[in-house]
Amino acid sequence: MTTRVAVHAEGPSLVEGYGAIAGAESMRVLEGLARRLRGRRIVMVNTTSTGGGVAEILHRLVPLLNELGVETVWEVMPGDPRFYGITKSIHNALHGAPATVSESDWEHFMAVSAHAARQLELDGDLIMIHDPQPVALAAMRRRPGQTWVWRCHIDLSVAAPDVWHAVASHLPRYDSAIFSHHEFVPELPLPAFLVPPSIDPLSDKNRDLSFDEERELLAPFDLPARKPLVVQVSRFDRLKDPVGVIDAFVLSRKWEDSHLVLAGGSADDDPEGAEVLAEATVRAAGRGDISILALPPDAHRTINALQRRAAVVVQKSLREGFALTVSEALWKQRAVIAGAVGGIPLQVIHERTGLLVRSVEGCAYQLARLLRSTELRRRLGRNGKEHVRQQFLLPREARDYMAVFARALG
Amino acid sequence: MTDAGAVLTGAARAPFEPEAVVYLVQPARRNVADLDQLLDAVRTVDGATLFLHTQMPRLRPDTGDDGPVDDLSGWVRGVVQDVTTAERLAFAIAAARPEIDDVRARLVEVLESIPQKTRAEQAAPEGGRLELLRFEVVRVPTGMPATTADELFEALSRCDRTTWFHHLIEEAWLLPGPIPVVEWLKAAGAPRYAELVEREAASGRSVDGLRSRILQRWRRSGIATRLASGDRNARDSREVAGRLARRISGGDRP
Repeated sequence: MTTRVAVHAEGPSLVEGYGAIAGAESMRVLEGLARRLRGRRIVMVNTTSTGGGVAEILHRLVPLLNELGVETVWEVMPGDPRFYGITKSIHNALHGAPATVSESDWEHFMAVSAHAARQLELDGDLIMIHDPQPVALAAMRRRPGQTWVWRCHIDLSVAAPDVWHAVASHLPRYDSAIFSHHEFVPELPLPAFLVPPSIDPLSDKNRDLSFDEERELLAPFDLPARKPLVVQVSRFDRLKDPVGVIDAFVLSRKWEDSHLVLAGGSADDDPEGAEVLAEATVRAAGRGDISILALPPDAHRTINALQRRAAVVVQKSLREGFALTVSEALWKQRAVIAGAVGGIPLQVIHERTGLLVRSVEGCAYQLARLLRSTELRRRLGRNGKEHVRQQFLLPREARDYMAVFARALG
Repeated sequence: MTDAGAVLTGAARAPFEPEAVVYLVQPARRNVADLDQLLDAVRTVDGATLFLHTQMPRLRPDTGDDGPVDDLSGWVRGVVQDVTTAERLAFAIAAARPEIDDVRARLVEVLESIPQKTRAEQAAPEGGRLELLRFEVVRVPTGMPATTADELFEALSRCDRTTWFHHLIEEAWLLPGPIPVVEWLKAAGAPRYAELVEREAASGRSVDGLRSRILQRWRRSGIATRLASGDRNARDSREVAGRLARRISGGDRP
């Protein structure tokens, strides 16, 4: 059974595609790093080749590194249904959600890891393990001369201590770790680097859409064509404060006419999400100027169209991980109002690339201010796009990984 | 004598190869929630952390006519929302000499002037703490060694902003003694370029701003040099261009 993922190397050049967007100078730094890494072999390991943010990144990152001349392969750790159930519980517990991982679950976790360790090739100079599922492989397969890096994409700030300690017990076998945000970094016995996540400007969620495409994608929702849209794209989660967004919108309507769209996942598998969706629906009841859209998980182009059609994008979170939806909106030159929490202030520089708020009233005030001034919206949108171009596009994430590799490999 | 085209004079001098850099950022394991904690942090954090939060934002793009905002005044303005203190901190950072001790002293002075009770009250909302960071540098050779000032600026014009930041700002702040690129330009017989680079490095401008000013000066001076020189190729080019212009305008008919 093969564990290696075949990634598409044909098609248009990614170096050229990203170069046209991020700039030739930025791509030259990647080429310089690639020269330092030439002759070395990188192996990426995760547990799925389809679905989820990590697989999405690797489908672009692996061919990009190869095109740059850094030999990179991607292996998927095999498992069984029970293993995936256990790793889902581990994932939830690390996110702070209630979940139990029993002694027998950990035994199964280790047995599957041992089986996978025999199947995977792991024949590189540097092995990059993504997330906790394959974390035990280092102890089983690390060879002398190899460098192992653990890339954690998860917010560990409220992790269940017992589950985190079990995962962390494997980390002394690694040389360094990478986290997305400083708040996610626990105490560790190894160097921890911060590599913020990024958006892919060539993906369906972020690529340019034609006017016709945009109109076609939004047609099913019967949104008013002539009113400015205020949009929040988020899970229905109390920490994203959808009810607070509705309250702020209602306050702002005393001054400016607009239409609010709250778009998020359908919350079928999330009981709290369903509760919050119900609360938001009750709060918006009887109002023709609010649309609540439950979208399927793969509605990337619809989200793209909604963000592009918005006059103002709101992300009024009360607590956040990184909130890449903010970068997505900024990349589309939208004016953004967002809560001053988590990774948001890195993306929204107050009064420069967007507006930070701390209250419902503050959100209402800034909303009315933005709806009144096309010029202010344009200025913030223009600045925001440039900020994202420099800081939050995929080539920057690739550059940071390559720098970690170069540091580790000497 | 013009600086453009000046060549290395010291036999011992090696060519100067600009380097791009990647700053690998790490948590400094310290955060601040209010102005009182900020004061304590400014007094005690290491120089690299203070440099990262006060100077590294100059790497960010300009926004319209505005330069990038430093992290400290940006946090105080955007998150704590104390506009007066934010303005004073921004001024202290912009006015500091390129020395960690100087910027530290100026920041302490601003924060100490606020009563302790007020400092403690001026706080971030939950989740809005300022996490302090530090960094390691990974160097990336550009493969463009320069032996003359012209070659150096030609190479720099093709480099990304980290290269400019590294050679003009980071090395000015964090290396003891004179800035290496300035010294190299002097040794290469280009004292006026050395002076220009030194002045811009200390200007507090963003990397975008100083890059565009330095390159503009270099290009202007290059044009003047070429026009003034008796370079045969340039003269030939001018003659060809003149003949072509006369032909187009009909003034060169036999």
